Amino acid sequence: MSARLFSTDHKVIGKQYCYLAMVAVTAGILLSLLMRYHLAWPKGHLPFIAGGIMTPEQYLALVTMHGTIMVFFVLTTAPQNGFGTYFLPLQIGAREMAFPVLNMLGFWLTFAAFIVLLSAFLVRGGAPISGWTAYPPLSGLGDITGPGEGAGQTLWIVSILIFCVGSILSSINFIATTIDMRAEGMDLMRLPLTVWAWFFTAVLILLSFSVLLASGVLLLLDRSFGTSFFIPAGLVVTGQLQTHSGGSPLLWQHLFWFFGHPEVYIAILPGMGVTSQVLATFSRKPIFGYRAMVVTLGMIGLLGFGVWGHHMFVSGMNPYSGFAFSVLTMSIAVPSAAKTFNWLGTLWGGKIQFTTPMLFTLGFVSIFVTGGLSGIFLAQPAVDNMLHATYFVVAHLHLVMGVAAIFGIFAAMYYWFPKMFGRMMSEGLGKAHFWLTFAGVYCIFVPMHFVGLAGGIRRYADDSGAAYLSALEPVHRFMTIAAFCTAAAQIIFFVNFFHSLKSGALAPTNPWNANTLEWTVASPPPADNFGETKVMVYRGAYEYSVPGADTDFILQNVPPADASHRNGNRTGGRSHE
Amino acid sequence: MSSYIEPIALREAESANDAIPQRVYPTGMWVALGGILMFFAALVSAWVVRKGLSTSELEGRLELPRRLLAVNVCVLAASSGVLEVARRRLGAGDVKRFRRSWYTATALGIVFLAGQFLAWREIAAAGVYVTSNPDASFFYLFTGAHAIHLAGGIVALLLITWRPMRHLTMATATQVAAMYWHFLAAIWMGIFVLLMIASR
Amino acid sequence: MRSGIGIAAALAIGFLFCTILAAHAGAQGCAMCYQNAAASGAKGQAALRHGILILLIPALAIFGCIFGRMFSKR
Repeated sequence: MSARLFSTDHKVIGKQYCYLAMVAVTAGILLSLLMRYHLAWPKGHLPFIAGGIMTPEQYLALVTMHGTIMVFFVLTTAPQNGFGTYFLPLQIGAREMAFPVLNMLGFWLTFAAFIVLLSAFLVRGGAPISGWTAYPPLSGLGDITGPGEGAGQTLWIVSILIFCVGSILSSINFIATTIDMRAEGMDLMRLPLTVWAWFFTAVLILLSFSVLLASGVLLLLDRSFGTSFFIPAGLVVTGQLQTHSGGSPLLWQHLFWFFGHPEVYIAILPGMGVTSQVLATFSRKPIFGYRAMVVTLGMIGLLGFGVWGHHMFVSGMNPYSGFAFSVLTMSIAVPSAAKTFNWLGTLWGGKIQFTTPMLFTLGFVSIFVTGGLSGIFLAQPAVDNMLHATYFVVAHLHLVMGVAAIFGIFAAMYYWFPKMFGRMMSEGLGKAHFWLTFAGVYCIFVPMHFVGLAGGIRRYADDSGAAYLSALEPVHRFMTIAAFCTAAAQIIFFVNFFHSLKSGALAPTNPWNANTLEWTVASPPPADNFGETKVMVYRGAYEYSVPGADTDFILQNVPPADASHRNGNRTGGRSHE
Repeated sequence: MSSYIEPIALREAESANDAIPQRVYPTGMWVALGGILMFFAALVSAWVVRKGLSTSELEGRLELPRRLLAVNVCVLAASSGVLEVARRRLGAGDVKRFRRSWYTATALGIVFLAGQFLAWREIAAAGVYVTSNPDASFFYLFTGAHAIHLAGGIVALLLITWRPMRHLTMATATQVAAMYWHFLAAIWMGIFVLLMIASR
Repeated sequence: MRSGIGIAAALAIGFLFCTILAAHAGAQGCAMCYQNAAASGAKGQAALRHGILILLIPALAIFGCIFGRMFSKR
C-alpha cells in the first residue's frame, strides 16, 4: 500500500495531483458559496456560526482561503502538475520523468502544504484575513491586527513556503525531462503544444516561486523575529505602538507581484496548450501556425515578467520613452491575440466534432476572449483608478483564471480520461455539464462587471450600509443563485467521473483518432509506458487530414513509408528532417 | 561513519531499462541553480529596496568582523579548489587520493560554517541582533540562507562517497555536487562583496 | 506559408492595437502600485528601479539560458 502511495511512477503521481486538485476545488467552491450567500443576504443566518450572522472578519477569512486554495492548489496544481506529470513523458516518448523520486517528493510536499493550509481553520483565531496577497502590515504583526492573523497567518505562510519548495522541485523535473528525455526523432518543432506549454510554465514556476519563497521567509521573520522588512515605524495598532521601524509595505508588493503576475500566466498557459491540442484533434486539421503558437507561448511567459515591473517603474522619463514602455506593457496582449486568431484559424474549414472536450475548449476560447476584453479596460490607468478594487477586477480575474483555466482543466480531463483510466466518460452527462456550466458562469460574472462599474467594492462583506451599494443587492442575489446552480452542475461532472471509473465503456487505444504519442499505447498505459520497443518519432504532432493519406490522422511514430502516397507533398506538419 | 572499504566503482549505469540517461543530472542541477539564484536575487533586491524606502534615519551601520569574513571567503574558495582537484583525480582513476581530496574539501566546508558561526557570535557580542537594523537583518538572512544551502551541500558530498548510488555514476554525481558547491562559493563571494560595500 | 501569413497578420494587427492604445498604457491593471511607488520619494523610486532590475535581469537571463540549452539539444 505504501509502495503504491509513495510510488515514483509519474502516472500515479499525476493522478494523485488530479485528486488533490479535485478535493481542493470542492473546498474552494464551498467557501465561495458561503461568500456569495453572505453577499446576497448580509443578514442571513448560518447555522455553524456563533451568533448566526457572518462577521466581516469571517468573510475576509473566506476570501483569503478561497483565493489561496484556488490559485495554488487548483490552478497551479491541476493543469501543470496533474496532467503534465502524467502526460509529459508519454508525449515525448520517455519511460519516466528525469527525477522520479523528486516527482514523488513534489507531490507529497504539495499535499502537506494543503493540510497545513486547511489547519488554519482549526487554530485559535481561525484562518487569516489578509487575502491571498497577504499584504503587510496586516499580515506582518501577528494577531494584534485581527482574528486569524496569529497562528492562522503563520500556518498560511508555512503552507505557501512548503508549496513553493514542492513546485520548484517539480519544475526542475519538467525542464530537465523536456530537454533531455525526448525520444529519438522528437525534435523541438515536433513537440505537441501541450509540451511547450508545460515547459514554459515550468520555467515561470522556477523563477517566480523562488522569489515567493524568499518573500515568505522575510514575512515570517517580521512576524516571529521582530525584524522590520515590511513594517514601517510608528505604527499604532489597537492602541499599541509597534516597535518595528523602517520597513516598507511597498517592498512586499514589489516582491509578491514579481511572483504574482507570472502566476496568472502559470495558471493559463497549460490550458492554452490543451486548447491547441484539442482544437486540432476535433477539427481534424493541423494547428494553424504551429511555430507562431510556440513563439507566442514563450512571449507570454517572457513578457509576463516585464509587466510586473511597469507597475512600479517610476522615473522622470520623457514622454517618448513612455511610449516605448506603453508598447511593451500592451505587448502582452499581442501573443494572446495571436493565439486566439490561430485557434480560430484552426477551426476554420475543419470537420468539427462537437465532443465534450471540444465543447469545453471552445468555451475556453470564448471565455478567454470575454475575460481578456475586460482586462483591456483595466489596463488604462485613468479607468483603472476608478475600477481598482471593485468587482470589475473580480469579474475579470474570475473569467480568465477562475473560468477559462478551469475550462482548460475540464477539457483536459474529458480528453484524457480514456487514456488515464481506460474507460470512456458519458458524452450525454458531459454535454449537460458543459452547457449548464457555460451558461452559469456567464450569468455569474457578466453582471459582476456592472456591479464593479457601479462602484461595488471587493472584499467588503456587507454593503447594506450605503444606499448606492445596497441598491445592487438584487444583482448580488442573481449572481448568488447562478453560483449555486453552477456549483450544483458540477455534481454532474463528479457523478460522470466516478461512475465512468467503474462502469464506463472500455476505452480503445486511440478513441479520438489523435496523433500524439500517448495515443499509441494502451489505455491505461503499462507501467513502463512504451514497453521494450524503442520509440521513434517521424513527424510533427498535427498531421491531420494530410492530402493523399489514407486516414485523416497520422500518429507521430508512423514512419514515412507507411503513410502512403506522400512523395514529398507539402503537409501541414513538419514531418521532414 | 562509513565502513566502506572497497574502491568506488567507475561503472556506467546498469539499470536494465537504462531509462534515465546521465545527462539529465547536470541539466537538472543547472536548472536548480537558476532557482537558487533567483532566491538570492530576491533577497538582494529586497535589501536594495528596503534601504531605499527606509524612513528611519536612526538605523545604524553594521560593524562587520571583516577579517574573519575575509578569511572565511578564502576557506570556501580553497574548498572549491580542492574539490576540483578531487574530481581530476577521480577522472584519472586515482580513487584513494580522490577520497582524500574530497574529504578535505568537505572538511573545509565545515570549517567555513564554523567561521560563519563565529562571525555571528562576534556580532551578537557587539549587541547587534537580527532586529537591530536592516543591514543586520539582511546580514543574518544572507549568511543563514547560504549556510543552510551549504550544509545541504556538505550532506550531499558525504552521501556521495558513502556507497554507490543507484542511478548516478560517480563521475556524474561528483560533477553535479561540484556544480552546486562552486555555485554556492560564487554566491558567497558576491554577497561578501555586497556586505563589504554596505558596511563601509 | 500559411503559418507565415498567420504570424505576420497577427503581429500587424497586434502592433496596430498597441500603437492605438500606447499613449494610455502605463500600468497594466494596477494604478495603486504605480501611485504607491510614485509617492515614495526620489530615493525610494530609485531603490525600486534598482530592485526591479535586480530581479528582472537574472530572471530573463535564466529564461534565456534554459531556452538556449533546450535549443542546443534539439
